[in-house]
Amino acid sequence: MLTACSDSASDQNGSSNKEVVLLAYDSFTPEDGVFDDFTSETGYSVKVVSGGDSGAVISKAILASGNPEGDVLWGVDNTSLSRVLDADVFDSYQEVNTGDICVNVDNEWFASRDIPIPSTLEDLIRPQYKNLLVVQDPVSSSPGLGFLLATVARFGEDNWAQYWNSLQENGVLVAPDWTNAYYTNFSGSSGKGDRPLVVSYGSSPPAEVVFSDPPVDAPPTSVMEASCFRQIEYVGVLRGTQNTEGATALVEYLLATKFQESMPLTLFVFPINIDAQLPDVFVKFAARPETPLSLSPDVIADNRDTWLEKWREIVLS
Amino acid sequence: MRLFSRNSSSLEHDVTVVFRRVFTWLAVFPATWFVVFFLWPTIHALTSLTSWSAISDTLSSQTTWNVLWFTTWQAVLSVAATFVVAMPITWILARFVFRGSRWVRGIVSTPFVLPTVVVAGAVMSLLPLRYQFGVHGIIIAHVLFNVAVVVRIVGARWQTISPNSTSAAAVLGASPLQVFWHVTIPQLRGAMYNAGLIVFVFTFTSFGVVAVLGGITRRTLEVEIYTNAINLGFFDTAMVLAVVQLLAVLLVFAITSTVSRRQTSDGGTTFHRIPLHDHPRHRLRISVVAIATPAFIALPFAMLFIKSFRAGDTWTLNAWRNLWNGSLDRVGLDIPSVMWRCLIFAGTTVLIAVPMAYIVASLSVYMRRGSAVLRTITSLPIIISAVTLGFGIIVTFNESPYDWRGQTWLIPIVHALVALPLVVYLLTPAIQAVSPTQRDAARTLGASPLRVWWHIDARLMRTPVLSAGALSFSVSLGEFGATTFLSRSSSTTLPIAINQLLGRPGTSLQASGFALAALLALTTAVVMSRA
Repeated sequence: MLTACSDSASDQNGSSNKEVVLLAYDSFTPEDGVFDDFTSETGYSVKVVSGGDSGAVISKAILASGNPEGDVLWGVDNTSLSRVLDADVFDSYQEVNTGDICVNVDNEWFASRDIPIPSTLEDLIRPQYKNLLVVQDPVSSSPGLGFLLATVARFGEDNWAQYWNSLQENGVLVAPDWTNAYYTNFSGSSGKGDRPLVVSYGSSPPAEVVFSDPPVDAPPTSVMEASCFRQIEYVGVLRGTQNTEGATALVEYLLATKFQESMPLTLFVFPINIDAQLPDVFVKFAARPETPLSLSPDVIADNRDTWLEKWREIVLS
Repeated sequence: MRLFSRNSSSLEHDVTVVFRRVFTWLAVFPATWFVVFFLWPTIHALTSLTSWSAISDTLSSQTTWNVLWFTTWQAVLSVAATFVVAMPITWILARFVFRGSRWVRGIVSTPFVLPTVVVAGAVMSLLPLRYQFGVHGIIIAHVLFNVAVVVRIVGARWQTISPNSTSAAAVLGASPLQVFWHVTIPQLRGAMYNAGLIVFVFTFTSFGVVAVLGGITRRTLEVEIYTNAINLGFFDTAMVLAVVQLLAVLLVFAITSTVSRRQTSDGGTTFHRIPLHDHPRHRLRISVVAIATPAFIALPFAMLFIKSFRAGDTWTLNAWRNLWNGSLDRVGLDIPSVMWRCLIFAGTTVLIAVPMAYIVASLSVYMRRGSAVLRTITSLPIIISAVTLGFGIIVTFNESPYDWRGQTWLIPIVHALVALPLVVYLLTPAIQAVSPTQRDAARTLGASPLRVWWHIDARLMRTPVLSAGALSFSVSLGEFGATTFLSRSSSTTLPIAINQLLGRPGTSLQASGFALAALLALTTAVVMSRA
């Protein structure tokens, strides 16, 4: 322990110029060795520092605004961007990837009962689909928030609350987090849940193929494209970094083809760089709606707390 | 005897005076560590992040009071339910030895140091779907967690009650219930108070269990603090709620401290446990409890094991193999090195927590007054919301040469802070039980105080110190509160790895998450059964 301690201390004081510190959430898990090229091109090594989920990482970055823990921040998306910008956390920032939050479907459940798979948000409030959907608490879960925003984007400021009243009457179940919704309540993955519709990601079906035991050729799940809400993730140089040059170089590298092509199978998101090739399993099974539901970061920032409060009223009543 | 040495200074033992002086000097080490890494950052966070408007807004909001009310009643109910489940098995483990009694002890102690996400997930998988979210699951999980506290603390005291006192009452015609109520309970009161207080603190400040099993309707203060600080970014509201939580627990400490003064100790004779086969009268009942209680506690964890061997409809070892063969590298998890690192963290935690706790516990035994205050202060790391310490480190250690944010060595230091109150609770009665007369005899025969300590204290304290080591080791392995907020470079801990595996789509990742959780449970059970 003592050696570890003195090692990192000397890293910080002696050779800080030759290291770029990338702050990220716990599930930021790039391929092993993905930064080797960056190190040989620029001479900078990359140290990934993680600490909690994206909410925790963003909260800490805001607290440390101007005197950051690292040089580059990964983990801000369009639902949290304004919060970060208000706190003046970044010197500069770029879009780095996109993904979709969508209702996922247990194909087998619908096929075996000969019920058509619902295809629109309106379908979800029809009596035929009563008690079939599980969503997450939008206060604590980012897919939960994405789905709430999808309904706002689809039905507008004036009508989304009415839609949620109907969802509520139609027996929507609200789980506290993604893990429980997907693995306990949803029937389509390994869970023995009783609900064949769950809010998850557009890239969950390819993940079901890549990480399946026993191996499968096609996912047991599919995506309801009309429910997809577009999530955009950003990467930025932190204001107050001692290493602007290294930080800028790292952001450039994260946007270049090599890293962008590694993202689909490690982070299950789509590259922002149009030159990046997608892996087959993504091309085949990931949802990529041409016109996803979306809202601008400003609109989200201005209304998020009001919407969440309103949502709690509807769901808790 | 102990009352003598503590309260009447005129008759005070010579060695006690020397020990008091020495441990007062040694207290510089735990005090420095505690102030620098705990008090300073938390106070800094609480004071710098709050605002007057947040104080008035939060205190005038109905939600705050509703949450405080729910937090309180679920904690009281959890304490009561824990005692109901724990007392029979505590009696059995304190009084009898039988084949597998060590394993029973290990199994009932395991959930206590497991990450809450694992316990909550395990309980949830057993609940019928319509009861999944709500107060039942919370109470069940809290009982699973805290049975160990009662078994350990009350059991240690129970072993020091002379079986003669109960047989005497029985001979005089008292029914077993009367004996228990009038002879046993009064002697256990102090230990039950201590155990009850710890269980209350744990359930009052419960986070993971409530966040998962409470659904969206049941929220404790700790969950509300997390939501405000992390999900909504209302730091000031979060800090006000953290102070409300702190004051509420301190109030309970203050109200109940009158009870604790009445506790007595017999000077630490531990009576041998009776082999069960010599005791045919209760044998059947005892066997039922000795099987049923660990079964109830182990059931959710047995589910973890079963699930880790399932793939679709078949049985397989793949999930376990994947932990070792590098196939989880794709999701950034090198499990062998995570395990190795966690063992180093846990070992370092033991090296910090045990000596520090030994000094604090000795001081609280030898000091003339203020031991209640000392104990309250050392309990703060389990009372204060984990978010507060995490934020405190961010806003405090941010200037060179004290820019310690993201330093790996902070992890065992924080683990040791979390383990400290528990280890102090464990060591204090053991130090109290060392007889001052025995030390005096040695002193009279010419031994120096150091030799007295070495030949008497060190020898008698060997077993409690080993238990303390095992406890702090296990706490470190399972810690999933404060550590999750620390920024760390390639230093994922086991609970964080489990959380990562269970937090992604893909059946093979989920099965490996269960396998890793089962492995953590098994390791903990082994360590705790030796203690």
